Amino acid sequence: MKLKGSYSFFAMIFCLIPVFIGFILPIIELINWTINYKLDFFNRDFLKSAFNSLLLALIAAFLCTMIAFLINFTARYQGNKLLSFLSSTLMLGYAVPGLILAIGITQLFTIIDNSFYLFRIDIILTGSLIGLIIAYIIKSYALSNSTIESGFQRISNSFDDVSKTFNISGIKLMYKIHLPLLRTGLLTSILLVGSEVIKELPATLILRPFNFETLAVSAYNYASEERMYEAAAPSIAIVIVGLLPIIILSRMIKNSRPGETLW
Amino acid sequence: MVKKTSLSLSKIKHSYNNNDFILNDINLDVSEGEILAILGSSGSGKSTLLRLITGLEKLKYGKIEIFGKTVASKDFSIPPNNRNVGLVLQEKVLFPHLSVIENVKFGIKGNKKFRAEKAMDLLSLFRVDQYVNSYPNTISGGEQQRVAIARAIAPGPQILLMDEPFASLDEELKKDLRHETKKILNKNNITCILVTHDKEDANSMADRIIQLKDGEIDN
Repeated sequence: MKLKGSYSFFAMIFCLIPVFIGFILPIIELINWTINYKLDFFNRDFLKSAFNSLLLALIAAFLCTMIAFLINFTARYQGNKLLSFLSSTLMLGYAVPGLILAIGITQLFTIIDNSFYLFRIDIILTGSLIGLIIAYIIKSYALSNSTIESGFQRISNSFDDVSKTFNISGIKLMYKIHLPLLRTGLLTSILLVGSEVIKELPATLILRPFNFETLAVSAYNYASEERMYEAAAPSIAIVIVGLLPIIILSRMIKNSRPGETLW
Repeated sequence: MVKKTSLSLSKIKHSYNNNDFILNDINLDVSEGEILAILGSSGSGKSTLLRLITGLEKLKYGKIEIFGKTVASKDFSIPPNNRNVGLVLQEKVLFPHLSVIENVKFGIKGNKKFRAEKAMDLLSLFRVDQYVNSYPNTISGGEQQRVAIARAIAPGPQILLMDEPFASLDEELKKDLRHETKKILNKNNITCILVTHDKEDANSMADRIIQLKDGEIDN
């Protein structure tokens, strides 16, 4: 049944309430603070935090996507059930709180660094970006895997069957057939993981190197000191970065429909 | 002149769950250059037999030989890419992101010029050379199947395995394609095993027809 007149108007208003309270209102207030209080929006600290966030997001998103792709490809090509099981196990990382993950990684790195120290090698892993990237990968693997797994399911097994009869290696099959056909899925995975990494706070707070700020850490630091106006700039940046994948993904979904032009 | 045996199947048995045998005691010899049609209804085991010959399915019982060389037995298996067999399936399996010529070149070994020339020759042979740079979704089903057969033949397989290759085509197209395919296979002395449920396919293409029923050769 289609609603008409005032019913339709009130239904629309009702549906807009969560969007208004959760998104439009805070964004208006953040923009208001940023403009009217004449704070230095693009100061050096902000730009440095933004650069750090983007760098981490890109590295973690790329590595996470590649790991998920390679695991799924090998499981499919070799029919390796152990890898399928490993992939399902890795997906549990999404449910683990960042704080717990950070403690686990810190403990592991302390043990490894201590064993290096026996050979008079200084601390390498503790407080480095490696721990942070590992934490992001474990936390976001489920996002990458579900995107890539569904992409692989859309590729007919007959492509693999026919390819296997040609005298070509699995590597050639991977980069000539699967990689191009999964292009949209890989890009989706990179965007999803990237936006997830930029928002991640607990693991970043614990594992980040000394004096290494990200947008989420900056926003948290300002907010915890009740400097809400200064927190506005990094918060808006996080919202924009989070929105980008949604806009790009919805365009990609729209364009994948028959009759639509690409991009 | 006595022709060589290109494919020999001995005591082939196969089941997916170790209980119900989908193939039971299959013994079969196919001569070099022969076109053998295996007729059977759905579930008779004919596609499974092709997958075993190709190496896409692991052989549990029996032995498969190609030109006297064992390619599969209970404890031994040569991977599909080293068996020198070509495969054509019923469904459309041209790679959608590659052009027609890139699809045919895909399995050919050699330098760029040789691959391009060989692919062009085959496309001319199957009368689809006007679609060289077209993508699969822009050509008809019949043309796609011509390209698929050209691609399967391109690497120079000793045996071509075809699983219901004409099933999705209309009668007129089928007739043409059967005729052309047979002519090309005979000219190049390629052994072919055609799996089909269509008697017309079998009668018009095959030198010999066998019937597969409940996993056994029905004499």
